[in-house]
Amino acid sequence: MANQRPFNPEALTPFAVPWIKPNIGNWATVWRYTLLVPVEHILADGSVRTVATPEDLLNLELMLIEHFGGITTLGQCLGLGMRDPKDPVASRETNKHASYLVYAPAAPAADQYFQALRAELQDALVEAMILVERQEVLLL
Amino acid sequence: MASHLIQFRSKLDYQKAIMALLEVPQGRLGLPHLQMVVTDAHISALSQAGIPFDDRTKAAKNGQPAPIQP
Repeated sequence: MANQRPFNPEALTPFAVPWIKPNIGNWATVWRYTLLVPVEHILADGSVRTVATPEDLLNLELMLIEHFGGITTLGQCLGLGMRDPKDPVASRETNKHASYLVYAPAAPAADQYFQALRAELQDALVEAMILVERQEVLLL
Repeated sequence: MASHLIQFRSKLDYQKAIMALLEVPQGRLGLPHLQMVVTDAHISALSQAGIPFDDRTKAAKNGQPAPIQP
């Protein structure tokens, strides 16, 4: 298993094109991305594995603010899951996540940005899947 | 529930605030220049954790609409 490394915001620089900031105004259609970043895994035996460090969260948050102009966080998000569907008892775990909402333009560049962000987070945190959701919203 | 525009003096204080505010169920905004828009619950959490910040909230005079922030 590869070792964790610090999240590298520079990996996203090529994807932070000038038009990545959304047009926030009346009747604007934007894409709203929800990003869940694991902070702790609490395993079935009670042991805790730290995933994203405070420095990772700082660098991530400041990078998103710089690229999109601002973010909304939803506070800590608790979830239950299992690593191995074939062994649900032993691989059961509770996850604590930091969650972020980000408005972005409804454009392929935004998808490319968040796909690159997901890949960077998965690589840095040694996670098989970082969850990124996208919803289309109309700002009234 | 009141909202507050606050600003941190350093990245280190901002980093400490991120971790302290993870436990607060309400949402908050992150803005450029180490600023956040937060609720009373966040203010309490920051105070309890001893994390310094400047409150940039502009209060409206009685009977007048709130000024545009910041």
